[in-house]
Amino acid sequence: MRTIVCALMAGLFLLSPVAVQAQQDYPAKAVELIVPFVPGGGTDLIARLMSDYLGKKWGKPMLVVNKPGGGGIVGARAALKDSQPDGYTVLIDIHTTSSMHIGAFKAPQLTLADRKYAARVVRDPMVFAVKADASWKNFKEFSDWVKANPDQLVWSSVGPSGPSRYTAFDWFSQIGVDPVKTKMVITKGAGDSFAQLAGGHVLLSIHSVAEANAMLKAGKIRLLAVLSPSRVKYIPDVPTAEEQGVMKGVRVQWWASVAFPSATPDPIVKKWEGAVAEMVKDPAFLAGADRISMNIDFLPATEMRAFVEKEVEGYTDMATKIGIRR
Amino acid sequence: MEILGQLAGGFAAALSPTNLLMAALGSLLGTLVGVLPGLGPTAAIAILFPLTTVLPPVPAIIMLAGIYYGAMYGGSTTAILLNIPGEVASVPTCLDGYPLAQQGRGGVALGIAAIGSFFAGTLGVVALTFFAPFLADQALRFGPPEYFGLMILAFTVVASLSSASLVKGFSMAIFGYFLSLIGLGPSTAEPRFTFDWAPLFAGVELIALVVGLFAISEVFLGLEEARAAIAPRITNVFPRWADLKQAIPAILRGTGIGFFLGLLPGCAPGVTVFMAYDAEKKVSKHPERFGKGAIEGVASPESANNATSSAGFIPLMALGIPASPPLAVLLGGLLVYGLQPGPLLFQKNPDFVWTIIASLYIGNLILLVLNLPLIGMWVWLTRIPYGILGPVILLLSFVGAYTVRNSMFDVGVSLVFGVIGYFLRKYQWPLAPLLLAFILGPLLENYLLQSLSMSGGSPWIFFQRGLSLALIGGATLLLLTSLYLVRYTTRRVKEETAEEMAL
Repeated sequence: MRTIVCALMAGLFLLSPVAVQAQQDYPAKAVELIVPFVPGGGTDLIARLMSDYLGKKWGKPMLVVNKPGGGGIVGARAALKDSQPDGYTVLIDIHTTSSMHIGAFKAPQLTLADRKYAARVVRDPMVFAVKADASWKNFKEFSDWVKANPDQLVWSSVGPSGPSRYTAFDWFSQIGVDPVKTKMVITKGAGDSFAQLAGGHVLLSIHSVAEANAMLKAGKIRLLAVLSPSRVKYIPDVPTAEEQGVMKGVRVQWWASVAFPSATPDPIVKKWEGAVAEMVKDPAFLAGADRISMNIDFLPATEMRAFVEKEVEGYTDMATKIGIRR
Repeated sequence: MEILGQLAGGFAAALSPTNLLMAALGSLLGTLVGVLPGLGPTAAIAILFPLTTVLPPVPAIIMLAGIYYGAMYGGSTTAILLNIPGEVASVPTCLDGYPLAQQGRGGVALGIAAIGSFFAGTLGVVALTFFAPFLADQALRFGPPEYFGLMILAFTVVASLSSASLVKGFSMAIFGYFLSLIGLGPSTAEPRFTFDWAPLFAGVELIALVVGLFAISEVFLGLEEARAAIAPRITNVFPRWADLKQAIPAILRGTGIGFFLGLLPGCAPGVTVFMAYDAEKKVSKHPERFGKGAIEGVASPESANNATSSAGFIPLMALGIPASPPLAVLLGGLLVYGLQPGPLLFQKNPDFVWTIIASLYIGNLILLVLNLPLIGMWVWLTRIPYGILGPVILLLSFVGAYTVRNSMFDVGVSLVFGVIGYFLRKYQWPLAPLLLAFILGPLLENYLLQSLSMSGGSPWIFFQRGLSLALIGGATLLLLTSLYLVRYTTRRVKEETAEEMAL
């Protein structure tokens, strides 16, 4: 009896024109937004803002599912490799799980070929922060001091191969300082790192604008420069590194995007690209982004892919030079 | 009085309908699970913890705190009515509580226990209110070397969590530390012990480990013993004036002993309850009544238990050191929400901290209000046969392990540790040191590496900085003290129960 029921059900399933129907009616059921990090972090917060907006727009639940661990690779793998490419599993893909991971490994667990980008949502530039009462007036003066006293620079990085380390390496190379002479303290996250900065245990911390905002508002830290082509709206008084004549170009920044398994049908990815383009103009969504100081900077699918490809080159080059590519 | 202003703000937040509901729900669920035979507070928190992960951090932690208090109280209920201590902290309660229950005065004993718990718990929170911010003010002075000293201090807790055998305790701590090594290293991101197997890259999930070790193993043990319990009838739960008059001084003494010893990061409730019970017996004019149903013999250790638990929130919130196994699980809970307890918690998340502190006051009150009328129902619950209860707990545990990371792998992990935990407990290897080392090990490594990066590789950095030197010195002192206390407690547990129990 059971066999017959199973067979009948399987038959019904095959008969229904799933493939075609699914794309027109998409989304016909709840969509899972996979966040490969713990709740409460930047990636999680932006995913929850998106789920709010898209859930209302499409009238279907957008479930934020946190799958943390392994520096985000575990969740990214689950979304891109171990799920159906039917558009009902979406990855909130960031620099850590894509370009930076690919650049750091000779045989990365996930490559660009494993994903299809719908759009970039956030671009959150890096800032150079010192203690509020530090004596250096600007980034130029600070860079000169570091050049003269590299062995006195104790600075905090998040993880051994996170954005802070790459940013610092890029800066050291451009001002001609041997990174090995400086003292890098590896911390677990921006909170830990800024606490050490505010307590005077380290002299410099490098994090993103969104991460720095709380400590900045509390008056505990001062920003010497932002690493961005132009100034950022949340910190209009902070000049860029290029403006101060210290660094050229931007090779490292925090960003978040929407990505799908590579076999996902194009119409679904297109639909997302369009929806995100509308989302980044929605006042309620933008107000939410302001609350968490997330710099919304939309990039459509094609440009996004080119952007990530260029980042991969940069990270591969830097990881090789630092000696952490393996 | 900045503190009172902040506390008022905390109350305003904690009294919101959602948070109030969560505190009540937590207390209720905590008692519900805690009252199930054999499930102590640690298991109760472990089982219920995943339920809270669907909530935002503040209501979730409020609910967890409620669960903690509820489970503590639930444990006393089974101790008094069934003579089953859910954990070692309830052993002294059995001594006089069960005789009282047999005399048909179990309701009164439960009532006194509830009142004593309320009083001691509230006093503990008052102290937390005024003392913790003072500790937290020192926040920014804590750099990596100071935290390293703090971790060394926290590791001395292993000694008092080791029950009978220090060798067993430290072996378990090493086992726990080894488990924490699996996955990507905290500072180096090098894969360690992953055998190139993808699921292991993320390491062993804390909750899966806790659920397996404490909850699933409990089910195996329970099924094996074919636990059956018949609770005596309960008549009156409200103590008479004469009972209260006898109990009040005992409550005060128990609270004092529990609280001050509980401030030491190495002192678990299992230690203080025995000291409180013994002290009560010593000051009594009729020590011969003890063990035959003396109401003071319930009041004093119960108060000490809750005072120690509340006092334990001080090192937990202000320094990130858990004083007892349930607090270690709670610490894990805070970490899951990205809230690293420690001096900085007060600086980074003041609203959060004050809301929690306010909700601890409320939780204590809710527990008292809920428990006195509901005692009849708890008694009824203890009569559920284990054949029904066991599978329900097992199901809850699996759901719990799955929900944290939405991963089937974690369910497997919890089952594996259920089996491991079953054997460890059967042969009296203490689980708490394992858990402590699992949680603190990676932190210790992290602070060690950070300190050495700062000093360019010189270990002298730990002794050149006053605060870190003081912490390491304090740790040494504490270790010696707790070694003494442990020997004392072990002897007393043996005398009273004629068997060895894990603290």
